[in-house]
Amino acid sequence: MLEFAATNGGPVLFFQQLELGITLGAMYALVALGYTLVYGIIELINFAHGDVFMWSTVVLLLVSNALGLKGTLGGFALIGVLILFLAIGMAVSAFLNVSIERLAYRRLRKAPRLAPLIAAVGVSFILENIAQLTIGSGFIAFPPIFPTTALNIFGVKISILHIFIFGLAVGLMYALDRFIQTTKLGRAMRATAQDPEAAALMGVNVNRTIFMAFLIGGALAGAAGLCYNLVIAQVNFFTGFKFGLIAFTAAVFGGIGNVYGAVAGGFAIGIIYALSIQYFNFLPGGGVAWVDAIVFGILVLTLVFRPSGILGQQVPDKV
Amino acid sequence: MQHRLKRILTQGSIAAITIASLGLAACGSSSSAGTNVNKALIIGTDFPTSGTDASLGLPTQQGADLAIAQNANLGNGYTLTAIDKNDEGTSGADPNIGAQNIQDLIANAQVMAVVGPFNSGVAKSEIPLVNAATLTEISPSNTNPGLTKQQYAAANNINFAQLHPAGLPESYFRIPATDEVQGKVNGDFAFTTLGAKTAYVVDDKTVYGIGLATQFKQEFTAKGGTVVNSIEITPDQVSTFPSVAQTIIAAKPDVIFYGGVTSQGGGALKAALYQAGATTLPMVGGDGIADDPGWITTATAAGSNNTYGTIPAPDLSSLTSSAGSAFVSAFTAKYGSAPVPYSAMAYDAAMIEITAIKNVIAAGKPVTRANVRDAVAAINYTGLTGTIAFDANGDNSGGALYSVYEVVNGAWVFKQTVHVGA
Repeated sequence: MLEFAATNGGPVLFFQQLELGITLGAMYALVALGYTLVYGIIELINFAHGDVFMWSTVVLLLVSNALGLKGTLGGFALIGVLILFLAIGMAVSAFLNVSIERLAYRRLRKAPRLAPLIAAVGVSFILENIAQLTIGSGFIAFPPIFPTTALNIFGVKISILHIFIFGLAVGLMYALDRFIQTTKLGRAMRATAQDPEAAALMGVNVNRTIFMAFLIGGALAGAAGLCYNLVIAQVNFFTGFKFGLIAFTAAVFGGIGNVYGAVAGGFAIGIIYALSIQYFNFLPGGGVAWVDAIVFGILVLTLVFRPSGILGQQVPDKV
Repeated sequence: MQHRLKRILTQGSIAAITIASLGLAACGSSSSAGTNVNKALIIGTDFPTSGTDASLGLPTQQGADLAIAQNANLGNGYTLTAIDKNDEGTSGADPNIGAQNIQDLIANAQVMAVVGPFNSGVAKSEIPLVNAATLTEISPSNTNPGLTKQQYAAANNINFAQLHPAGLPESYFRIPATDEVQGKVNGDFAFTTLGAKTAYVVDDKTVYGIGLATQFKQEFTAKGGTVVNSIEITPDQVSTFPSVAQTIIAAKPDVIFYGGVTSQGGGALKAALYQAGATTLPMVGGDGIADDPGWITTATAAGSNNTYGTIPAPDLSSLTSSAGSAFVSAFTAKYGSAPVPYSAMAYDAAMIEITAIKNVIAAGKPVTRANVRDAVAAINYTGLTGTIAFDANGDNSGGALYSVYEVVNGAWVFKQTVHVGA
């Protein structure tokens, strides 16, 4: 316990881990949105979504290598590169997600539920294998292009990078919210999520709606890919498996199909991860060895008492 | 008429073929009957010489090949050549391919000894075969203690009785010290050379990493240091490493020990520590990270500084004796590139086998696998890597040698040699 006290000093460390958890959570939220958008519309768990996110990190690494980026960039160069990378990342993942829908899932829409599920798993394998063939099996560091300046607020170091990530993620989530609430296409998506047949009867182009869900979900995952490359900065062909699994968990935790749930779940899971690593460090193997068990334990407990997730709607039993 | 002719021709040709093959068989069997001894001896090698492991596997094999080429003529009419086998599979060295290679070498009656394998995982499948055939196999690089020490076998998923069947003489030998020695060397290095009083221990959850970490902790605390905490990481936790790094920094250790290989998360953790502000915190590891270019790629050029790693083989720069320099120049002349540390170990392994064969010839005994094995078991050889003698388990009782490497300015640099034991 003495060890515990020595390594878990004070409020500064708590807020430091909280800040890290929020940054991690922002990325999980972006990827969770992709899962929830697709599930809300066609009730499919897009198992390949994590690998779509991974491919954004891979392509950005290849582009940064092609541009010869090695060290910190400053001023306009940094802004230009960030805008370029954001556009590329979002475009790559959006294109990939939409292609998967068109090639693998569309034909299976009327098929029994397991068929598109297995197809998704298959696509996941394909994306992982191609990535492994492209960049090998190891971890490749993404060049540290973002400056490491940090604000010091009462001892807690908050880096400008984390503020940028948070701002970018929240900005994208707000844009998504406005899109869904105010535009015609957004309304169409909400209608299709509620009842696809009725929406079709109302004149909603179901194909286009599904296309938008995959497009937007993919784009958000692509943005998360850029964030991941800047913060974690380790590109690996298998990253999408775990990251996607956790993001999906976050979506379920917050209420699958609910966009606000995905955001809440993402941030919540990120914070739980960071705090568990610190405050469960006394367990054998350290907090990091137990953190998955803790997070999934919380998930299971939550689902036992609230099966539709934190923000999910309670569906009454059909009579 | 035609019919009878055909019958005669058919029967005649069958008879001719039968007589010819009997004759050939008679010739063949008479040469192994002892009156006509085949003096063209062979030493086999088994290394991963293609794919991802080739950068170490091939130069190691070349070290053995050099010794064999230098001793092509053993005197008394005996000649020596090499048969090189490759055990690289689709994703690294493959134990099944290694086993097949050893079967091929065993089937060749002229093969008197083998140098290899590179990987402990491959050795696990080869040792039962060479023991059953009493074919000497000396590894220049296997460090898994479970291969020869029964008390470590179970923890390393090794069926000791299957590898070393009772009643058979020990035919597997190895030159480098085993991993539990390496962990101790690291503990001593961290406490004495780096002057660390507190250590944060990390392992990668593999048997190798846990073994190293356990030995490090024992030695570090025995010397008087304190292990602040001990955690286990895996590569799929990479996205949580910023938080893990904060945890480590908050504990204020003087040094971090990483038991494991680069790709299992160590490199990513070092990068995360650097990003979190621990720019001067040193990290010590074993041969899973030492001199590994992948470490620089993963931990970034700036982040990988202040990493130390050990390799159970001599650095080129320490091969300054006349024999050492002769080896380096002969190797470079023959292969066009400098040897790696394991090349010297393989050279010594091959030279031990060659010396053993020469001892058997000089003693007037027939050159058989059993006699060569006995000669190797009894040998006392001084080579590039020091004095080598084998104990009953096949381990090197002549003392251990480790090269310490450090990352300076984003590149691995040789720091010092550490000698342990005899």
